[in-house]
Amino acid sequence: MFTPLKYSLVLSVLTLLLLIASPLIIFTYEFLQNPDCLKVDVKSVEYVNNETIKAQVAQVNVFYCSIIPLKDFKLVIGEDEIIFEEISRGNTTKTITLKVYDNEVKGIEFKVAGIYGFKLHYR
Amino acid sequence: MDSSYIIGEITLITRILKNIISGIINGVLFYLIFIVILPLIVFRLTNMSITPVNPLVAVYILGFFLALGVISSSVKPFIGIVFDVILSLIGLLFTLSIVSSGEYGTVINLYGYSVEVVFDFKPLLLVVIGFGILFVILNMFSRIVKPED
Repeated sequence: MFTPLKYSLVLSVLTLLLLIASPLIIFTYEFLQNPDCLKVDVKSVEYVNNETIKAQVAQVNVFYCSIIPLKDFKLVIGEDEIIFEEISRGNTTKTITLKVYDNEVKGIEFKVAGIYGFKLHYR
Repeated sequence: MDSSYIIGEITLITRILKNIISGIINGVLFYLIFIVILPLIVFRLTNMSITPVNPLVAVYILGFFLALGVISSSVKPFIGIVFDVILSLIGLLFTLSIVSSGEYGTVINLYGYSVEVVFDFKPLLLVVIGFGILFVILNMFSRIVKPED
């Protein structure tokens, strides 16, 4: 009585697993092919140093090579957190204001296709 | 001794043996599904390295599954269903603990820097666990509809 239902469930499990896992498989494959698939470059454009404000204007460029988009991309630079809604293939540039003169990227967080979360933090 | 009594005894022993064997098969099947196959699917799909399990712990878990399997097949079907559900839910709990509840963290060396990496694969795990629960419910219903002796 339940055999057809069980078979259809197995089929739907396999289909769903394939659909959910495919972005991760493609992402991993492309990263293994090209380890420099994701590159973050922070360049200072202007320094602001007066009596009230001490900050720097910087340009962040993110190069990404995979066809799988990265959602909720967050960069931790010094004390600041810079959020990009989506990073797709190619270069994405953003001009930001940083509270400190530190250009070093201390952490990266993103979600592969909005599903799998990755957090990388330099110690 | 009455021959019908001997036949009755033999039938009883055969039935007990049949129940024990079906219980052992049941326990091994549950062990394979929850401790071996489900974690393996998750590890393969997420490219995680498999956490080695202490062989003694593996034997304990297998023994636990076998015991519950044998109890489930030896008692009356409607009571057996309860043990089957307990077996499945504990199996899912083991699966969750093996795959560390959907988060995998490690420290790697990247370009000379020590980097802490955390990988979150909860959505994938939810699909696997969700369908696991569906199968448990389906098995329970199939036993209620067609109870065995």
